[in-house]
Amino acid sequence: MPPAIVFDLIGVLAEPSWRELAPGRLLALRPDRAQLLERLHAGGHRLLVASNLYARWADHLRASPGPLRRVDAWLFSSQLGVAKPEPAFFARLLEHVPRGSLFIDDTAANCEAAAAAGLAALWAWPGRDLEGAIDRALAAPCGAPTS
Amino acid sequence: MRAPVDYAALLPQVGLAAADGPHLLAAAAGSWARLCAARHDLSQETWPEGLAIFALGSLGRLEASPASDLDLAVVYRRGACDHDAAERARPRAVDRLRALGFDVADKTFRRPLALEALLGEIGGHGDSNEHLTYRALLLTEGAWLAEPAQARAAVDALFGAYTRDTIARGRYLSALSNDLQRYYRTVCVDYRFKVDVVGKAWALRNLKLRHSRKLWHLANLVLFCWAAQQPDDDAREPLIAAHLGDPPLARVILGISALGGARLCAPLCASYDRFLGALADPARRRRLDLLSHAERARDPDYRELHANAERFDAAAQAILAHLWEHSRAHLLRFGLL
Repeated sequence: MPPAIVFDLIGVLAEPSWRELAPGRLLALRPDRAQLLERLHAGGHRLLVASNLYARWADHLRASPGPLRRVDAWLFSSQLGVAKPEPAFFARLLEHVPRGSLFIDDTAANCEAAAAAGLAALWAWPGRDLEGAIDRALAAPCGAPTS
Repeated sequence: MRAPVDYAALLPQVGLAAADGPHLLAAAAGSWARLCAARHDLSQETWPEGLAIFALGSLGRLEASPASDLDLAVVYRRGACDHDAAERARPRAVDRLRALGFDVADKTFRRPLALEALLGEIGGHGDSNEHLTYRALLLTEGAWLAEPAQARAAVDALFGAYTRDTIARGRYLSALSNDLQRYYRTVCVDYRFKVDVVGKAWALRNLKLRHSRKLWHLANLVLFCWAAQQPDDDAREPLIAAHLGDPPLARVILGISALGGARLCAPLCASYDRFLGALADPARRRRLDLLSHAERARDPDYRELHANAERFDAAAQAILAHLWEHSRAHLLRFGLL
């Protein structure tokens, strides 16, 4: 079975950041990441979102008819009571996905914490060829380190 | 740029107090407030799918004052948005921004451009000064005004155009570095055309070349020399991506501090602060716009800013000398040769 993939929301799938004046109506899925979600869903991957964003800010994204319907589970720090990069957040995440699942985040510290928890972490720094990096990570032998 | 720049925290790193940079602080805070006001206002409109609107220039660099004009760039994705729809969207944005008090310039960026045109032929026959300008400025000072998800995807695609090359990318993202240097040289030559051939006002242009344009170029050199010190491309590329959109002065401070020369930035910051202070004065800008070349030696505003440009030059040279000491091979091979 294809591995589950966990995405951070802001900075990876959607924009803008809360620092950039982000009332709910501005929040939108990136067009390139919409295509990515569709492709991964078609490939049989289970898709999750793990975010430190307030859940209510993402409500209209979750309700949208677009590719975010492909997301199988949403984990928000505000609902879990713990936030990335705290280990407890990843302990909760591991109740939903097995160790070795791919975890993608634009914050390096979150990736380090995810890797420490046993996830295959991929740092989505701005401008990175994320699709290519995901494909390489998925093609790598199970347990191979990602970056 | 994902957050307001905090010069109150950066200036002490170089040995100055926040009070030593009043115009830097005022420009950064004022620019961010104006950016937020513009974003909020433009969010009231519905924009075509696949289109993003950016502020470039001083507002994008967080160096604007109320006297600054606004360079507005509209970029769209072919297939998602057609050119006519983008053409119709631009005046709607301009009208809203002018109603907010922005002086929107109708010059370099007056027509929307397709993202694919910026990506498709970098360095080829179809590449133009206009394409180069959009690429260089979107990457280094593009601040979204509308449709942030589209805007982020567009900027990432531009950066990706340089990182995804397999043969020409080279180490150190030299194609990107060369394109930024190419843009800077284009601006320097463009000054000659605008002033001597077209007859546009020269003084303010000259002073911007000697301050803000030079700082932009210096910031790119510093960033790439800083990145060259990283162990490999896996560390280098995220560093460049993370800081390429920082305001140029912040980029210089962060980069030179990482290379152990923070204190060298103090004179640069002080002279740039004086420059921003002068630019924030509408009456002074107007006097400089009207100044003839023959009268320059007798004009106190020009003389003061010319002397400031000399001090800025000296400070920039000290920083370059530091780069020469700490990143000589990279500066020589990729910055000069």
